[in-house]
Amino acid sequence: MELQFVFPLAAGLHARPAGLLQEQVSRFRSAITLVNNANGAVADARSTLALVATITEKGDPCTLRIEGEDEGRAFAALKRFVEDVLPHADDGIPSAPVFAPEERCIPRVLRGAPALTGNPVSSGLALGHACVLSALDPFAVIPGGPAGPPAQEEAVFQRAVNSIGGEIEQMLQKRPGGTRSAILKAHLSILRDHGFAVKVGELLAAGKISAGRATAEAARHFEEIFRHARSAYLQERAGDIRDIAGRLVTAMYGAGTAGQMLGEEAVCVADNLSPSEYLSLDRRYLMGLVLARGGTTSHTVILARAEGIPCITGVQDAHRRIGEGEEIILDARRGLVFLRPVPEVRRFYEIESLTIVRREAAVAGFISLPGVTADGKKLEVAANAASLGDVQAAFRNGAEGIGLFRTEMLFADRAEPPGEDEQTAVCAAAVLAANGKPVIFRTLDAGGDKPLRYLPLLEEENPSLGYRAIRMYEDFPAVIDTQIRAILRASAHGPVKIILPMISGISELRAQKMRVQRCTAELVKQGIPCDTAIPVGIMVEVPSVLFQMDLLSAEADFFSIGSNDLTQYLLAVDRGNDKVEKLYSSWHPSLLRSLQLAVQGAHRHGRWVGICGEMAGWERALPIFVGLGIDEISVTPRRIPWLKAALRGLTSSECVEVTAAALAAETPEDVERLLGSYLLKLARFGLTDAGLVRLDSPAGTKGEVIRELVSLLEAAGRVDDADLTEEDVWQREDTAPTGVGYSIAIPHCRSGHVRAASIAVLRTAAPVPWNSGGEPVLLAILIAVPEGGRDDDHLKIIARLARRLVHEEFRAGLMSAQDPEAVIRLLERETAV
Amino acid sequence: MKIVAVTACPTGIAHTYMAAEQLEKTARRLGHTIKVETQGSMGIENELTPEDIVEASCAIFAVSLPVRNVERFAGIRIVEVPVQEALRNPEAIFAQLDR
Repeated sequence: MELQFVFPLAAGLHARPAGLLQEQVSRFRSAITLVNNANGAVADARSTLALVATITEKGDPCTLRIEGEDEGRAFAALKRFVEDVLPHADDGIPSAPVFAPEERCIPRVLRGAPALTGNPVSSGLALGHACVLSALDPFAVIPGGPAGPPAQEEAVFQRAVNSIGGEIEQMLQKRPGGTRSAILKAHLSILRDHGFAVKVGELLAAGKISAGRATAEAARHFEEIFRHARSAYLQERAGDIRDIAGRLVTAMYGAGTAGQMLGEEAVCVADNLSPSEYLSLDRRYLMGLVLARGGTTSHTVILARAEGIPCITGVQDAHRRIGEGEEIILDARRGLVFLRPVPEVRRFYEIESLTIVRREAAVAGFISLPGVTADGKKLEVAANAASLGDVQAAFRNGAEGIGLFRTEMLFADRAEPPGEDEQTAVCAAAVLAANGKPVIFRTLDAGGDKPLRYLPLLEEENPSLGYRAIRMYEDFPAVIDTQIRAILRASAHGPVKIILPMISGISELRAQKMRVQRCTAELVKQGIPCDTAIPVGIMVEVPSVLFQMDLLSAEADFFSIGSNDLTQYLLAVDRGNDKVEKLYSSWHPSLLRSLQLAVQGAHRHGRWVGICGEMAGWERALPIFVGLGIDEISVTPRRIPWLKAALRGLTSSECVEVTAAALAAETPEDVERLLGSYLLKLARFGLTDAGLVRLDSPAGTKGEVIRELVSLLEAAGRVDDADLTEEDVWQREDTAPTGVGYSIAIPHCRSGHVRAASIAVLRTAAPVPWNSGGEPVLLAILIAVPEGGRDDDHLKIIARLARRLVHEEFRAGLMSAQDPEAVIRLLERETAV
Repeated sequence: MKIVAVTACPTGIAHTYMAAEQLEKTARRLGHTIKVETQGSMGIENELTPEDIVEASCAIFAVSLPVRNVERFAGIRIVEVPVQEALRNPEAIFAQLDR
């Protein structure tokens, strides 16, 4: 019997899926072979390695030939396996980050400092000493003497296989489940591989060869095949075989020279590191990993990411350029390695690591708490996502669900739309990662400013009012049906909802609901599991929806407000047009009244309403969301702990009051002022506090002073991005340095990366040169003001502070203050308005 | 002497107000009367009225931006300096007025 299928996995047939197939095959007595019709390779399906060696890649047409007494049963089981299990074999393995390094500004202090660069594959920071792991050449320990008789060597081989197998099984029992166990299982299947044993047997039978040599040769044979694979992922699998072979040889003849033990904290540096070498390192002491090779998908990288070990790869010749015991700083956020760092770089990272600790400590406690106000009113805090990586980041940050999964990224940058299996795999992986929490998938929102190559790009006068989102669905039924089927199939793995973009009226909703029902019926008919009553909701972004909430609520299961588009359509303002951009404001009282219409309309019919636009992540808008009774906000993952923390500072009755005032306000500026002073009253962010003051800083350069000031803001959660805030401060310095004489400088910025108007103060132990040729500085006062809306209460205080600086008594007070509290008292007394 | 002045800097956060304070302080010490309009982040404050300008013998612009509503000052002697100058060397500005 023959079973035809198309190979579904993007990473190709590597050890994990091959191991799964081999496991299925071994349950039957029939002879089963895999034929890859694309390249003619044939393999005994009882051998994981032979299967992998067929170099089967995504899209290859394959045949499973099944012959034997139980071929009927085997055929049925393998058909189920190929259709239902195989496409998901790679789900749940942390995916490699998408390499779209946003254009980051490297902080000035670091510019020009000699650094090695690489790909940041697992983010984090490590300061310490290097431990260089010399490449483990397991084959170096194979004795050169004459080999024993084949039967005796065969026994040596079997003993080693059994002993390593026992070790791996023990590791598996200790901590079952997760990424680590998936990789260990893959190793177990290589170790016990039929094809590998056959190859070793053949070599031994030919005589005059030791078990160790035969193992090495067999490994080399399979490694060679993998190295020629097209897929980088398969090439990297060669490392797994070498790894296992090395362990076998070690079991036969004792340890080689390389298996260093980590006795103290270290950043490990290696050409490459096999997964078992990685697992053998004592991770209590492993602070970070610098690899010369290792790609972005090797099992070692996957493990490091899963365990939160900072790691960068592709650092050319890392193991040769970095010396044993050398002082090293690994910045796996920016992809930099510093050797024997100069004092400024070292201090930069000391401050940075302190800042990270302080920041995380400040909100870490909120990650696992539900989104709720001080008086217990619930507001679910969910995350927006566009990839599996986002979903994982969301749940690490305490997301209570995925409020908006944008599916466009799946469709972007390719010649053809993704197939059903590929989409199912991604959606199912997202649902599995959500672990029982809801995931809302938005159907394709292409067109407008998001064109796709295989959909027609029209020259439109007014793209955002044109042919986009559901307006295209009628013309591309196959693309949309495929997507709906994929989402439905993913719903078999956990709670899933569908949300439709750009709905303007009831007939559009009805048409798409019929599509969902039709797709559901088809799947049911085909016996494919899915949620047959999947909730279907709509985006509230076209204003017409607001005035038919009663009708729409009867047929839509839920609503999510897309505040960006809603603002643009409601105010008829194109944000990208400089001339009118200033009219675009989500603080417009009319927009707030729109939110109110949406919430009241939906709640009257018992429907749920979320908000997922940019404004959903604004701390300042939280009182409005609570006051209006919105059920969920969906935001960038890293904002979640902060918003949960802020939410717990609010009380619902006060929020209702502020919201009433905001709804009655005349202008966007009034709304902003109102909320600003409300939050100020809550003392969420005063202008400054003792935490933003540091006296006797060791900073010795202007760059260090500015960085330390920005870090004080960062540690307090007052900036979104420290590097970009710092850059804004520097741009002001570049136009004219801010030394004002009297040994004082007032670096300042108005920046989109600053969350709250802030004053930070740094007094240095020694004078620091500031203006070129000017007087050095002992006291620097950083004034940071958010871009956009005016915050007059704060600006008044800042203006007054500036005026006070002209007076000597005030300056003398700052210069001689004994502690941060004294500085704050002085600032408060002298700048009170 | 009766003097009017305008201060303004690019971000309108700090120098505008320091310069205003410095000009006021120095004028007091030198026995002049001065009114300083700030054109900063909070918009125009302490705005100069037509009467203020008519009564003044001259105007100081301590600015690194063009002065807003500059037409108000038609017909009056204007001494313009960079805003930093008002911080660093205010006496020199007043000395120019006497010339």
